Amino acid sequence: MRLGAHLGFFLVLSLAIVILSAFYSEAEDGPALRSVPRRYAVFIGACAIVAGTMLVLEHVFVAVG
Amino acid sequence: MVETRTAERRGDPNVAALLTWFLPGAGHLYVGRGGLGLLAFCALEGLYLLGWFLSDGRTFEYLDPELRGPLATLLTPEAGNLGAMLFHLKSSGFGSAEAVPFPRWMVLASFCSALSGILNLFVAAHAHLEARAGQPLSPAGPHPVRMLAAAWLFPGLGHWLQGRRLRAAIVCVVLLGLFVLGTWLAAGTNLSRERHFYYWSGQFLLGGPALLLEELAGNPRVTGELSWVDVGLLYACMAGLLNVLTMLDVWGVAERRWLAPPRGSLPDPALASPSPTSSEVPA
Repeated sequence: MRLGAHLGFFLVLSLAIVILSAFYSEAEDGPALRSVPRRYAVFIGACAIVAGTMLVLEHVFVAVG
Repeated sequence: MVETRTAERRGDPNVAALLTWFLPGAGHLYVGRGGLGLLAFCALEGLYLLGWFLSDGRTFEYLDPELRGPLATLLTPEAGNLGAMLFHLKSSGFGSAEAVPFPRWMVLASFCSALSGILNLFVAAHAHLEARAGQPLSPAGPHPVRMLAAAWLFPGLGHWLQGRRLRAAIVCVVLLGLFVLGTWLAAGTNLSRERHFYYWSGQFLLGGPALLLEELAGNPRVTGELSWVDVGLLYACMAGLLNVLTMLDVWGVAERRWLAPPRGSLPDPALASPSPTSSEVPA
């Protein structure tokens, strides 16, 4: 439940970041809005890779359990 | 950034901006606008001094003792007025070592010194523009610094005044939504510089809504456990930081319109167009 809530909070904040960075990168509104889904997917995917890498490194090198 | 011919320049724009950062008005003096520089100096240093007197120089005492250090205040709005902030640190440091109640007008004092720093960044932007081109080539458009201030004052207002209404609405909804959601999750505890010194600095960049909500609901009494206070602080702070991105977007378009030659005077149609095109990605 708590993990789900954190994921939800992360998705909301990352959506805001992606929308505003899309508008900053594209001068026209149409292309900016159309680019949001692709940018969002890339952002989430990249974050998932970073999180996965950190979890693997933690499991391999840091886990003391 | 829009290129300007060296012959049109009144001085090095970066020097003008840096001088202003250290001392409000110095950049304008450098480009030959002494009157404006003196006005900026009196207004901004006066605002900072007002905050300094009202707080007895204790604004930075809000900072947790373990975080205090020579560079600790560089992430505050006061850093926008670097000379005044360094003088403040030199003369008052981080305040009294003893636990003494804060003065009555402490919150107002903190607001004054923070506002002085933010306003000086606008003055630095103005000095930078003055150094690049003293006279606008297309004076019909609003001054870019006015647009920048509008974008800070209320999220989306700068875009709205530029006629970019859809973008203004989306920026407003996203940033205000993020800030209100964050404030709700943190139960309003984010609206206090004393509680959350650095997060407050971030959300100060959201401008009017953050100040208004702090005035209306700042310093709430906490009676129970706040489960999502960290998430709320992050949201409110991010709303302010993301507003910087929208301010840069507004500045890029306003600057291009301000410096672009009037229609028909140049063969390049992209420069004569008043509306942004896909090639006009702000620098």
